[in-house]
This record gives sequence, structure tokens and C-alpha cells, in this order.
Amino acid sequence: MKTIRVLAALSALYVFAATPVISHAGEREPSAMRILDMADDHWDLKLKNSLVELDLLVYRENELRTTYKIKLKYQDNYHVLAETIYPPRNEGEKMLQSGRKNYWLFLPNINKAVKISESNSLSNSDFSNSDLLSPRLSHEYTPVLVGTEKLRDADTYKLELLAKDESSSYAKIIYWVRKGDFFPMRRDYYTFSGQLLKRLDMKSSSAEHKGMLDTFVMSSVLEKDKKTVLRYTKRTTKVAYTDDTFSPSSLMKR
Amino acid sequence: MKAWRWLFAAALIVSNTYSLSCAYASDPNAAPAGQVEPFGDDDPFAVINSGIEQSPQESAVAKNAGRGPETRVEVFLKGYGADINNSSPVNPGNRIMQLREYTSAAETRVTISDTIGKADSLRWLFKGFAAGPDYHEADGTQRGKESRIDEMFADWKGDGLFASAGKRRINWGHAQGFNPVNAIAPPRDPLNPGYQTEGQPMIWGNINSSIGAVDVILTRNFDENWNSGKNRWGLKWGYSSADLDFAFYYFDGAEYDDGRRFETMLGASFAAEAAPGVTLYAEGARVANNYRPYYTPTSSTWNKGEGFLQGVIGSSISLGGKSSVFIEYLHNGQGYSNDERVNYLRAVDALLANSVGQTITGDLTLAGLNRNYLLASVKKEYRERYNFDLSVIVAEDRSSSTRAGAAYAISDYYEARISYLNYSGGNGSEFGANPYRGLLEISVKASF
Repeated sequence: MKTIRVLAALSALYVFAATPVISHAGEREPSAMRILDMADDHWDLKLKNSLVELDLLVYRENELRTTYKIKLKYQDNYHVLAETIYPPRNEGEKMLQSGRKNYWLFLPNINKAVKISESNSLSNSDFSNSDLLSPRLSHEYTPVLVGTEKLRDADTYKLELLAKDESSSYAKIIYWVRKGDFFPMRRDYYTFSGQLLKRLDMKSSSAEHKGMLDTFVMSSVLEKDKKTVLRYTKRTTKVAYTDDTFSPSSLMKR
Repeated sequence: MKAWRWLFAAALIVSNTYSLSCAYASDPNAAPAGQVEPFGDDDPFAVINSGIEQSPQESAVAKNAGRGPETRVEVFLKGYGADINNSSPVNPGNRIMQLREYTSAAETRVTISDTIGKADSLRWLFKGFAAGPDYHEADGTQRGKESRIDEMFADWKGDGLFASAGKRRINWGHAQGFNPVNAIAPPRDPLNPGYQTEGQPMIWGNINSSIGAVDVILTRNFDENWNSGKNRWGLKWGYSSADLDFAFYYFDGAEYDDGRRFETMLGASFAAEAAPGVTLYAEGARVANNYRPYYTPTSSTWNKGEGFLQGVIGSSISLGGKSSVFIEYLHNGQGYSNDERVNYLRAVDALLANSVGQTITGDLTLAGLNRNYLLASVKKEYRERYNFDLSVIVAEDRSSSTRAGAAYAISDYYEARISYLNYSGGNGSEFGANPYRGLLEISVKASF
């Protein structure tokens, strides 16, 4: 009987030690999934039910090459409509996410909506459809906390996100999330062949909306002289969208 | 005895805690010592400080957003150089069409629209087109001056409901080049579908619900002067999910004055992601009556009467960014067989000799002198400013039509473009019979 009690106590101790992780410093760290969810919330929740205007700036060798202005109607992570409003030669092009992995492109010059994949891009920037429209990673990737690191003078959690299945855009994402407020700092995207493809750095620039994720820089390994900057310039919250705003059949109507 | 149990348990706990902590130390994603960081150690946000000033034009766009009607103007200045096919059976010696080698045109497209009401529920739109003195259609056909209203309509949208009335261009179907189910609008040149912008006067109603979207179309057989005599109507039901988007189509109309029944169309189409970056799609239409004239060896005409099938299957592949390629195969059950094409061209020959050939050159329809076609098109954007496109149609008779183009964005408002349209094949072939062998187009476009 005594042996059983001892074993039970030891088992409880073992389970307690296994989760959450106990660091060398003895602090109780949150789980990897919680860190990922909190980081996703910084991006996804702040956009939920909002109308956002953003600039997409493409640089080569630190020289601004092209500016796109895009209006983003964001209901949730799976219902987003992006419309290009500048430059004039691309005005009226739309990209729609109507549910998980259901992407459409509307081309006004041929007045047609075509089904596309998430690897397409509305602009010739480094941001793919899924990068722009589906910021929430917890639905597509399984996180593992691999350690902590210092990044841009901040202590961060380092997560390794592995794709749940091959339909995801990337096989692996390394994600740095700031300790304390779980602010997302950086993502490194890897292909299914294990190669580093591109890097996304994130920060908050707005003095008005302090703490809101609004500035992103995407750099590509394949074109080292090219960087794409995404900045949210205007945000209107609490916008009520009708469901058919995000249906493919609505693309040709308006 | 008890002591070893405690020691064993303690060792077990410590070993697991240590291995978890070791996960911090041994980061499998850390670069090996000495490996160069691929993005360098520079501040990634430093690039933002270069050239970020908003241009005056951008300021104007931002300032005017949301105020009054939206206006969009496109002006094209075009010059053409034609390689005329003097051996063309439909234009021998260039005597019938009298095409000119060098022509030029200015084209203007103006779109004005505005919304009113709560949540922009009501909208009106006007789109006009004017060109002259010698503009060319998408397939190169030379025209003189043209001015028309492409679209003029008002629409209303509610929660799950939509209605539109007026002249409007809508395109049915999932395919990108050939569209057998696109019965409402005039067919487009698959090598240059963007050029066909004229709509059709109609009333359009739409209901969107959890079981899909239903479109109802009411229109008439309007000619270019808005004259009409017969009702036409159409119905579409479509459903979209993550894996599959499909639709069914029906288009019908009142019978002709001579009692012939309308060419009722029943069709279906779908699009689905077959693999990451690869979309597969197909369209099929069954047309109930075929009133196209077919020619006998003696150049008399007859009608087959019975219905025919048209179908297309294709795939588009993303090349990253805005670059893509698509391939389509079309079967046109209304097209001519080899013998029928020979008879048609023989009939043209004979009737031209009698100076009445102009009346049957209208049978030289798009994708009409063969039954099977293959279309491939690739578009590539390079370094933000350069766009390249290449499209090829190959017909069953091995003749082909190719359009190759390159564009350079001079600025956000101006673009220079050069393209070459080539028709090749023997004189007895579909594309080889074209009045042109080639058409070079150089243009500058301004968009505001």
C-alpha cells in the first residue's frame, strides 16, 4: 500500500514536471500552442470584422519600385476580400478567400473570376495569398517550443511550426514571439524540401494604435535584393459584413 | 530498499526535466557554427526609410477616395503593321477586304460609377468605348471608327439578394480561354479575351444562400442598335466549397419567326485545386439545335439540325506571384470536319468568283473550322515592371494562331506594349485562311 502511494506521488510529480516546461531559471513557461494562439491573436483578432487599407511596397536594392494600395475586407481568418485600388493599371483586381483554402482572383480586364491556389499572389510581391489573407497559423501548423532567443533586443520564444498536412503552403515555420505580451516578431518559412524560402519581420509602428501589429517586411532567399513592405495605413473596426460579401459569386457583381 | 526506489524516481524526474531543458540548448534549427546568416544582420526595417514619400498622384488618389463618382479612363495610342495574306481564300489578292498594311488608332475606354444608399446598396455604372480611325479587333479584323456603350446599368445589393438592370457584361463558366457555357455574352477571342468588353442588355437577379447561388437572367436578342424581337432567358445554379466549385447552366429563348426552336443550352462546369498551385477545370454545354450552314462539294448548304456538344478541359498552374500558365483542350461539336472545311473553302472560292463571297465569310467563326483545339497561355511578370505573355492555339488541321506580347510599365500610369499576332497554316486550314499572316501592334496606354 505504501509502495502504491509512493508510486502515485512520483507519477504526479512526473506529470507535473512534463508540462508546462520548466526552464533553467525555474520559470513556468506557457505551452507552445498557447504562445502560438496569443501571437496569432495579435494579427488576426485585431483585423476581425474590420476594413483595412494597406500599402504594399516592393523594393529592389533599397529602391522603391512599385506601390500597391489595397483595401482589405476582413471578417475572419477564412473570409477575406482584398481589392487593389492603386496603381491604376491594376485597379479593380480582387483576391478572395472564401473559406479554408478556397481562393479566387477577379480580373476586371477580362471580367472573370478564376479559382487559384494559395501560392498565387495579388501583386508580384513576396507575400502569397495565404501570407496576406490568412495570418492565423494555429489551424494549419503544430507548434513545438524549441527555446528562447534574443531578437532585436527582446526576449522571445522560438517556436517550430510543422505543417499538419501537405496542403499547407510551407512545410515548416520558425516563429519568434516576444515574451510577456506574445507579440509576433519574425517568421522564417521553409519549403517541403527543407530549404529556407523567405523571412517575415514584424513590428508595431503606429503611435496611434500602439501595440498593434501594422508593419511587415518580407525578404526572399531567392531574390536577395528584393524586399516587400506591408503597412496598414487605415483601419475601421466593428464592420458588419454580409455573408455573400465573401462568396465567389459576388466577385462579378461588384 | 525504499531508498533505491526514491533514488530511481528522482533520477527519472530529473532526467526528463533535463531533456526538456536540453531542447532549449540543442536547437535543431540553429545554423551550424560558421554558416552565413542568409539575410544578414542588418535591421530589416531600414529599407522603409528609403523612398517612402507618397507621390503627388498617390496623394490625389488617397484624397479623392470616397468622394463622388469614381472615374477611370484608359487611353490607348496604337500603331499596326500588317503582313497581309494575299493567298487567303476569303480575301484573295486582298480584293474583298482591301486591308491596309499600316494603320493607327486611338482608343478610349471610360468608366464612371457611383454608389448611393446605406452600405452602398445601390450603384450605377457607365462604360463607354470609342476608337478610330482604324482600330483592330482582338483577332486583327480591321475596323474603321467605332463608338459604343459597353455597359450601362444600375444594381442593388442586399443581404443575400442582388438585382441588376441594364447593359452589362457577365461571363459564365470556369475556363479561361474557351467558354462553351457563356451563352449570354458574345464569344471572346481566347488569345485576347480582355478585348471583348461589350455587354448585353439584361435584367439579372441573384439569390445567395447556404445551398449555393442562383442567377436568373432575362434578356432579348438585341442587336447593336438595341433593336430586338425575341425574349431570351437563362438560369445558373452554382456552389462553392474549399475543394470544389461547380455550376449548372440553362439558357433558352423564344422560337424564331420562321418557327425554328431556339438553340437551348444546358451546361455544367467546375474548378478544383488538383495539387498545390495547380487548378483543374472543365466546362461542357449541350446545345439543342444546330442551325449553322454546312457546305456540300457542290457548294450548296444544308443544316444538320440536331444538337451538338462543346466541352473544354483545362488546367492552370501557378508560377509564383502573378505569373501563371494554363492549358485547355476544346472540342467543338459544331465545328467543321476536314471534309466540311474543304467544302466551305471551296464554296467561298466559288461564291467569290460570283462576287457574293462576302455573305459567307461570316461562317469564318472563332474556333469554328475545326472540331478540336489546344490552347496554351503563359503570363510572366518580371521585376515589377515587365510583363510577358505568350498564347498559342493549335487546331486539329495543324494550323495555329500565336500571340506574343511584352509590356513595360513606364510608371504607375503609363505602359508601353508590343505584341505580334501570327496566323500560320496552309490556305486550306482554319488559321492559314486568315486574311492576315501577321499583325504587329505597338501601343502606349495611359490609365487614370
